[in-house]
Amino acid sequence: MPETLATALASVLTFEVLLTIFLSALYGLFVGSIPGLTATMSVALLVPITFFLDPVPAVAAIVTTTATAIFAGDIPGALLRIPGTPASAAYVDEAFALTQRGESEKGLGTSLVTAVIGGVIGVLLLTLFASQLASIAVRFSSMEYFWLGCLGLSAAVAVAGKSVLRSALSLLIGLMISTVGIDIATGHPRFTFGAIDLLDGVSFIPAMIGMFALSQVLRTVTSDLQTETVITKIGSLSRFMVTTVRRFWLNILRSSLLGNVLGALPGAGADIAAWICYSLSKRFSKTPEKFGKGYEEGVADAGAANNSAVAGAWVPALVFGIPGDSVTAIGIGVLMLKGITPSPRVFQTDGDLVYAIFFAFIIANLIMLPLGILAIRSARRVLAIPKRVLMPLILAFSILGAYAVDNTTFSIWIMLVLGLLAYFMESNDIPIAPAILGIVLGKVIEKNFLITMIKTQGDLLGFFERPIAAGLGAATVALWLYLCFSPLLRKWRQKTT
Amino acid sequence: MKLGDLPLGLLACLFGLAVIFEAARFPVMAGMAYGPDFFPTIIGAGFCICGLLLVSGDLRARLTGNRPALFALEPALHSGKALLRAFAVLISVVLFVLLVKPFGFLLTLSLLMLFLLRSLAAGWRVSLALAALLPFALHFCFTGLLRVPLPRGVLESLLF
Repeated sequence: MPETLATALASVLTFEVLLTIFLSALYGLFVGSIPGLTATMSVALLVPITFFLDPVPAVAAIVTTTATAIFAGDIPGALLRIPGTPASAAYVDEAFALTQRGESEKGLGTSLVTAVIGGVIGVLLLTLFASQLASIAVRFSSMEYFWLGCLGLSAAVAVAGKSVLRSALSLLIGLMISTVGIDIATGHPRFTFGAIDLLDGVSFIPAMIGMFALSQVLRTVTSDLQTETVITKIGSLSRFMVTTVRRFWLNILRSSLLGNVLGALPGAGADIAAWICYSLSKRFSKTPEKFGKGYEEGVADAGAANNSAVAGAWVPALVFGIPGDSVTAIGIGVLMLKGITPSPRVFQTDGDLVYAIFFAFIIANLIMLPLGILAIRSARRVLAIPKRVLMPLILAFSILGAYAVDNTTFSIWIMLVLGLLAYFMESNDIPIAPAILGIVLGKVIEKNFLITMIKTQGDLLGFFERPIAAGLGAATVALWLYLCFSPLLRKWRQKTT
Repeated sequence: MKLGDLPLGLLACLFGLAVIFEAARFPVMAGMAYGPDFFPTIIGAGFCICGLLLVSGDLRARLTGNRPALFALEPALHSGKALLRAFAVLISVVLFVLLVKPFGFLLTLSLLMLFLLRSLAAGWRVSLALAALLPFALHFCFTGLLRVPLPRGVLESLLF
């Protein structure tokens, strides 16, 4: 174990990796602080580049970009009341209220320092949870994986968006996309319409780029090309950081813990962690009347929660290959391409790499402190970049990124079609995240289902034969029943009262 | 483009049925209880159920006197200019795919950047500068640093 840690640390402390972390941090801060460009999109655009890096810098680039982009989303949130990423939406009013009182440094300082602390705590928890979970999960077989996949999908439907029906629709779209290509059992091509490029399935990275980048470009060019940015002056940050940590250390600790667990749930990413921790912060606060009028407590809670969730999402991703959010869905794809299959044995087979990821995560969170201050100071300039110039740049990166992955123009068609699909879905209030999980988990579920059916010779009860599988299966079925009957129950309760 | 629950539900139902019919044509392997058609059929059925629920919710709203719109365009898409800009983005992607093989990466991207930047009404100076510099920067990153071969054309064979 100490040996693995030493090799891991040595592989992170190289010039190449540190430079990658530094550049990714700058990139993440830049993209995150531009309203409308999400952390997921920044990672999707980064993937083609990580393709050609070694495994450690590749994953380091992804984790650094996510961590910094999630924090940077707070900057336009506090200054302009436009959250840079959805994860900042929970407390944007709070931070903006501080800015309106001329205390923007309070909101921004709080969110920076809590992001750093939340992020570091999140990584420590990730290290702890992942290895513990892995020691249990080595005994899992196809039945358990089947149920884990189902549970992940059901959780995604339960937590994403307002309408369960629309989340389910999104999930089905994702599952449908995952069935395209050669069937694993019989080798029959499904839904390929004669296209040879589709035999291998819908290429994941172009799909991501289309769904997150192209759809956003389309939305931006049709709506807010005109917005003017006016930014107030920002005072000294460091003073507030120290006082914030002293005053709210308990909040930061609590929300880091909770945010990490929420992040690990498939489908519930940093944004949901921020919403939940913000509302808990209000409920448990000694001064709940101050909330919403510019008070740092909620910002401290939610700011720590969303950065801790970023690390938490890697727990199921590394141990089961089941992504906690859209970013780790992309991360799993990158790991697989690098020849690392996420599994409970990943700590034995690629232990040095996994610990290297953890170290990269910690370094990324630590350099966020100085770079974050820099980002806040230069916010005025970044936010002044006109969208009419930025959007063509993003489109160029998207096209090239999609092309570079498989070196075929067919990937660009995939990006275009799925970009339009995602635009249509968002216009109809159908959330995107369940579809992403569907694309990733569809294959996992089908494969493990078929393997189990071959093992049990077609006996469906085989899914409940092993104790852990039976437990997971029962939990999944309970969640399904809850999802089906909760609307009816709510109506019945309304009638009786 | 925002569809009401009724047309959206019908669309989901139709799509689900199409998936089920297509899946029914997949070959069945002897001795296997669950073949390649099993999952697509479940997914198709899922689409149908979701679609029916959407339709029934919409019809219930209609019976109680509400009249949800069948079809609505986002306010952003009401202006012809916004539609043209979206069209410019889409046509740029299509043109890139069609032109990149015969013309090479550098020329195609620089022409499209100029076209797109001007369509979004960016200034001439920025547009020309980006159209001239960005393709070379990307070309350097991808072929030089990352070793991804990009389609070659006239400019590439003249310069490299």
